[in-house]
Amino acid sequence: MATLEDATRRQNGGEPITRERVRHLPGELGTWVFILGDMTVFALLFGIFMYYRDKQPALFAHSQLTLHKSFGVINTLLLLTSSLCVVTAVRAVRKGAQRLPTILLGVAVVCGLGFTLNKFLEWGGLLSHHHYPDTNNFYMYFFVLTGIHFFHLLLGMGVLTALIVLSRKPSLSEKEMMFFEGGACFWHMVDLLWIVLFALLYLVH
Amino acid sequence: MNTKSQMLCAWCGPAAIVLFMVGFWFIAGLVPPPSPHDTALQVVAIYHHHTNLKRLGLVVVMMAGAMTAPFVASISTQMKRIEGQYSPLSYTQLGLGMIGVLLFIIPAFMFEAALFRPDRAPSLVLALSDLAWLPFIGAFMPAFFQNLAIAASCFQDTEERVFPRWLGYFNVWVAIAFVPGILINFLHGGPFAWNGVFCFWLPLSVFGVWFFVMFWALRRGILAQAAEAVPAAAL
Amino acid sequence: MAALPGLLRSRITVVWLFLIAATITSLLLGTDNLVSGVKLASALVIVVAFVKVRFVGMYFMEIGNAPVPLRAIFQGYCAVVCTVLVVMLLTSH
Repeated sequence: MATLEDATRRQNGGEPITRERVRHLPGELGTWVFILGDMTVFALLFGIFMYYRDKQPALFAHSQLTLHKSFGVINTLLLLTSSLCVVTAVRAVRKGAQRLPTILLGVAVVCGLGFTLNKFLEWGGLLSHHHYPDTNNFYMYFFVLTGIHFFHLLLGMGVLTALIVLSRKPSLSEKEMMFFEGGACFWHMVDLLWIVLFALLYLVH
Repeated sequence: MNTKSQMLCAWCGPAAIVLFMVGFWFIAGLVPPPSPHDTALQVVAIYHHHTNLKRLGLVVVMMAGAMTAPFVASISTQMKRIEGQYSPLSYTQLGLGMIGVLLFIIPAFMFEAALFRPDRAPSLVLALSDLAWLPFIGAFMPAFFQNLAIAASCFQDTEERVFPRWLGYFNVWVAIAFVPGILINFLHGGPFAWNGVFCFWLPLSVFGVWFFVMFWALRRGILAQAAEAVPAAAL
Repeated sequence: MAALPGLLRSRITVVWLFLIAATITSLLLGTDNLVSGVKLASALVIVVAFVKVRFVGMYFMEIGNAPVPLRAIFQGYCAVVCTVLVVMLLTSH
């Protein structure tokens, strides 16, 4: 490896620059059939929420005040941090690092567990103040949207666990790397969807 | 080589969907479904309206439901090419898909019962109507595992001899898209009720798309199987 | 572990810091009267959210380095969904 190439690598976070940009599809085709499909379904959910919000603006505004934004912020920060860990783990695996990817993925899982704890604390708080999913439409949307997202988060934790198992192998085959990247992208999707939910449910008023 | 009968069975899928829409939508006029909010008297009024057309349309729906059976069978036949002799996933898909036939027929007969004597006490008609709509829209659980079984076999097909890998991901997405159907049991209105955009229109669209995508994949797999056989036959 | 500092001293970590900052910004937009006009503040919150979404996609999911069709679909998704939600907000009561 020439020194110039090394310097270029370091500048660009490890991706070597060649004359034609070498593009790489993370995961495989099916990964994106799934992820884009799921993102589309969530886009429908976002639109549904905004539509029904406009039918009862006062109710939604009033009920939103009972939410504690700190729960939302903490959840966002946890997921963003976990995503940083996951993408760094992917890059570490590409570099052939042995223990680091496993540790990073472990941190990501801990963030996910933190999100789960936070979620139960938040939901528990709302329920103990008699704000149930069938109290009014705002709470119905709140619990359903965060519930569907939480279901995806649990799936994501399962995927991260599978990635942890994979990361312990000394080296990954091409197919295994494809699954590794695809699984990482699923986790980033969970993060991405929460970013929008946080904005719509907690902040938009 | 029985690719002809496989192809025939595969074509039953799109045919079933078309027949279903003709029966349910055009003849019976049950799309969109009546609202869970409707009172017993409102439901009775709906079933008094074009009663015979509704009775006929539902019979067509039941035939369409039964016609999904050969389609399901042809999916398992191709899945077996991946799994070989010991094929739990193919049997899972086959079994759950056949149960799916009943999930057309039983709710449809609940409707027929409601329509059979429209002058019954309104609360009875409402009860029969609920008995029809809830499972018709909400019984996704067999389909959930059916889709996952197909997905698992796609991921086993490492050389993409039978199905493309992305079909596995597609089936996982379809399975997950059905899960919000849980909500229809809790809500009487809005997007998550049995007539709502998220729990009726979305799953109905996904269901229809699944049939056509699977048909495309089946056709491709069956033709590949026929092509594989040709050099052997030439010997 | 030796690889960690090198891996973190990269564009990805800068993106993460930006995302944290954007989260705080949205929080302020959603609470304090940073911007006059509740609707404008809320519209900005949605826009910032989708800027974050785009960054998560382009840098964390590595769509930025992916084939053009995927990049186009993803960026199109961000643009369309963001626009629709902002329009729904601005035309609401």
